[in-house]
Amino acid sequence: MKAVPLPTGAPVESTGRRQEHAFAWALVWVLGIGCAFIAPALLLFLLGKGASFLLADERATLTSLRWSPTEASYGLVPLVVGTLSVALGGLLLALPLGIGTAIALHFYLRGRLREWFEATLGVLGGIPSVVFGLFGTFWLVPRIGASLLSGVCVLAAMLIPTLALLALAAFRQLPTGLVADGLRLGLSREQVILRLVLRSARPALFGAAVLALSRGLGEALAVEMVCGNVPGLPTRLTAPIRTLTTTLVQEFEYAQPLHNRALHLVALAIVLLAALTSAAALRLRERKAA
Amino acid sequence: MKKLLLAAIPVLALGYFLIPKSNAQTRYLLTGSSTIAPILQKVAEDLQAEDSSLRIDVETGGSGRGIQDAQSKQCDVGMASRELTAEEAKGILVRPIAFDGVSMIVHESNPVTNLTKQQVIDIYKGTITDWKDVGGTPGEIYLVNKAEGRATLTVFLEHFKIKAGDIQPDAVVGDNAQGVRLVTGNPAAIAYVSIGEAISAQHRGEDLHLVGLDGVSATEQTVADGTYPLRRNLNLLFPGEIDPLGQRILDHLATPRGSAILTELGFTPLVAQ
Amino acid sequence: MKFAVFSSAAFVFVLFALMLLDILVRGGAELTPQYFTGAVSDGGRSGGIGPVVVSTLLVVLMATAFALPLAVAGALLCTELLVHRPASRQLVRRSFEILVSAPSVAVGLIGWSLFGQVFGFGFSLFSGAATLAFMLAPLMALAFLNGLEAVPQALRSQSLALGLTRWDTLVYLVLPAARPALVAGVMLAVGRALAETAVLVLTSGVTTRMPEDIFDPGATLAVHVYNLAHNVPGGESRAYAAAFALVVVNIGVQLLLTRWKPRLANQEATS
Repeated sequence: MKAVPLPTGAPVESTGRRQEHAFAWALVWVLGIGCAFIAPALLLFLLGKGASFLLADERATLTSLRWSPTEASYGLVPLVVGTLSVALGGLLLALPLGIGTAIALHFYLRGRLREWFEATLGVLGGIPSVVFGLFGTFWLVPRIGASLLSGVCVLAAMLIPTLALLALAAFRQLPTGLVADGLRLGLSREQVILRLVLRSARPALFGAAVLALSRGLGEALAVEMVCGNVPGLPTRLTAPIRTLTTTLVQEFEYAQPLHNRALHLVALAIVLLAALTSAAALRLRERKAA
Repeated sequence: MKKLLLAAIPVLALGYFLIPKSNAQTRYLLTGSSTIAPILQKVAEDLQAEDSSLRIDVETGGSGRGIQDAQSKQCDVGMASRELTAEEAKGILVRPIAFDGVSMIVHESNPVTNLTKQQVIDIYKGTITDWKDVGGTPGEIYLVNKAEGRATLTVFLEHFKIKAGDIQPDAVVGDNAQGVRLVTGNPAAIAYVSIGEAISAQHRGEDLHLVGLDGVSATEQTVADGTYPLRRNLNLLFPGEIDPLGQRILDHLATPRGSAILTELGFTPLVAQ
Repeated sequence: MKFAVFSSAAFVFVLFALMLLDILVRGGAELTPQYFTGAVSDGGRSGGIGPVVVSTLLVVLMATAFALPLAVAGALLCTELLVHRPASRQLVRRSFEILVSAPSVAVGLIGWSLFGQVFGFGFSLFSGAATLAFMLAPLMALAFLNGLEAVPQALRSQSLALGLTRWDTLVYLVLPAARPALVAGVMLAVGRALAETAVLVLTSGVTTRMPEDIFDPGATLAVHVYNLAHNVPGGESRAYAAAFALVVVNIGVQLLLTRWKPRLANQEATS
């Protein structure tokens, strides 16, 4: 943009004709505030409806171990346990594969090949979750049953691309001389990676893991298609489970008023869990490498 | 400029959809049981074909919703696939339109074709866990239950005098169709669904068969003559006096065409044709 | 080490390759032009996906249309109106970020509760689009924000020095300069809308009838895949066909995005 010399004596900012566009600016204000207030408004809605459940006698059942609205028991515990087990399980399965892939791409591949694989990972990460649910339904479930394990596998598949990409980003942020210095000191490539790189990137990798976790916590349909949907504490990997999210999908349509309000609390729980984990993830990723 | 025009065409075409074709005043609304909905869907299509000024909308939401909406007059007709309690029936005219049974279904390859009432109770309570104990090929029984809030669940629990908490299923399904789905995909599975749905599935060639109860096989015939024990009425609920269009619907269901709709969907007409 | 990481990478890529190949093989055969325009029959087990295509187009277009003015205004709020209030700006930005990473099924419940029940629209394309717009607006706003902030301040100050009003500066100089980011933001939203399933299952339903107007229920492509895979007995082959169409569209949109803005393509979460 070519620099234009200031005309002498001209005002730096013109205010005269602002009145003409007052309506336009007012519109921007209103719509802009509206946009900014979507998040808090939705949250308030959930709180409002959920809180009205707390006025009912059944609120005592929230901490019980049974989720069974027909018997007036609204225990959130099995649902939370289900959510956490699927998400953590999926994360644990995805971590070695995701980080391993990132290491392979960053430290052992160069140039065009690496770019191509990275781009592919990006695309894979954007595949809609129903597709993963599709595979789970027709490939996994007939073989290992509708259970926690199936949910874990499907979720892991979904999380791997994201994890790998985030890990790659973390590796890129490492001080440039790190690998070279390590090699120069006499460490083998392996040792450099294990001892130096993973150590330095630990906060960022941790942050990536927690971010992936928050995605896993919020996943609904893919899990619902494969996990059996029985609310209860899972006693083994092959037991069917129900998560907070799958409960919403299964029960929202036919819920009677009280049940309906309890479902809003379930939604609130999901939002809180996801928010806590992504806030933690943000905090971790912003921390500089040690 | 040309690009803008090109983009405008599909947008305008889709603008057609922005025009509401009906509003709350002119449309006739039925809500409730998802078992009954397909029946009324077809009736609506027939009536709308005869009289194009009609607009009949059928929405699901469960028998509970049907009862509630009829009570609060939020719909014109409610649909409920179970009996109403005295409390629920206050101020509502209940008109049964068909019989439907609830039957156990198993995979086509499962040799079991009949279960006694006690056996069903034992299976669902978890006392019997292997198919060999009821005459099937040895193998663990994969138990499928219905989700909370479904009328079919209520009907099942009431008939067998089981409490929801007694059942520890291997999977929970929502719609009847999902139940059919699980059974056709798993030779060890057992589920219970609306007989209408099960028979429709059989017509389509799905790999399942219905299990008889206490020696009575589950067919349209046994449901019709009352010998099959697990039978329920499919009810239309009117929030007050029956209006002309409501009466038309009831009349249509009583015609041979109406019976055909019912039997096609696997239900049993009330009126023998 | 080398062996370990390469085998994990190989495992990952082979897994995905097999998945995509599977969809191609099982679903590709069904994709004829009739498939895309034909009516749905037998609950989706046969026939085409014409109504689904229409529903998808309607929902995506409406949601984007609803969200766009909100998003532009939201971004402008930050860059133009709150220029001197960094704390407020940060708050607004946070609000957008929170919503972008919010679990979509929860937003779906709110949509069902608000539009479906309280406002009485029930399952409808309108409810779906409005709820989806809640999610798309902050997404686009963030993308627009990044684009607008990248426009050099010199552009603004020199234009004002020449005597142009702030509004004209905005409309005729700043926005055009940020155009790549704006387009990318819209594409991002469209991509997200096409992939979104949970929200729509709870608001616009799984019906495959041709919608007569926007207050009718209707399944979008992603929802149709879910329905066929999960609810419809015998729907397996059809589910794969629809999934193939979905994946092709999805990958197409993503590729378009990477051409426009390489950085934005890696961020979105879909569920």
